[in-house]
Amino acid sequence: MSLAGWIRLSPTAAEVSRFNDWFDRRCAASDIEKSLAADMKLCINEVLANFISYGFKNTANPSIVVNVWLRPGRAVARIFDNGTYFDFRKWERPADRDLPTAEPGGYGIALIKERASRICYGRFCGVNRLKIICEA
Amino acid sequence: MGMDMRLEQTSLPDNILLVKLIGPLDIAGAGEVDMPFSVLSGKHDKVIVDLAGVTFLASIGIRVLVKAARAVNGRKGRFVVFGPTEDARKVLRSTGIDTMIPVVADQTAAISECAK
Repeated sequence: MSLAGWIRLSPTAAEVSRFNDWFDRRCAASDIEKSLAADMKLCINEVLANFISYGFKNTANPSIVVNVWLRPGRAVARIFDNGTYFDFRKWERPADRDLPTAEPGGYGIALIKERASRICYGRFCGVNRLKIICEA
Repeated sequence: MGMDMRLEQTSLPDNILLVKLIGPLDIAGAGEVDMPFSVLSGKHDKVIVDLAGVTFLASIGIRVLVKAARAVNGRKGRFVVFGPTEDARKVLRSTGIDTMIPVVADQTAAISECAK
């Protein structure tokens, strides 16, 4: 069974929890594989965490809309936001690190790049449009 | 709403502190445990962390673990995590954390690792 839905969010940690509850329910109502659902949930969490940390410092009325399509073998998310320009595709995976010297950041981008099968990004009229596809 | 993140601590023999994390270690969960975990890791030299109850692990949760491990290891202590779910283990592997912090199967193995 395929299933689609959307949710509007503010850039706060509580809203990420609300998204996770919503996403878990959507996945449970679809026939999507658990591993694929976990991959997409992780990707979207990393994007939302990045928005909260960096995306809306100069935005008066921040807005995020997440659309998802779920079906066996494939999950697609389209994320629209009016924050700053940020192209996830251009961020390099952090180099291998060791514990004493590692800065405890940069893991999110690595996770998105590993879990997503494809990432598309564009910015039009002040709105960022990020598309993430996870395939089995 | 979903389950909140919880941190439980238990003192074990040989001055080992067991920290049990329970709930989603997403940005909200990490925010809840970051401060208490930092305080604990600043005071104990042998810390084992039970991840079996962590239902979701995002990079912000990795950051909490790395900060704590650095604090303990910086004092020549031991910091070991154990029991992650398959999903959490995958995140630990993907980020290379399992090459920086010992990740073992269970509490017995974690205590043994602390003794090394």
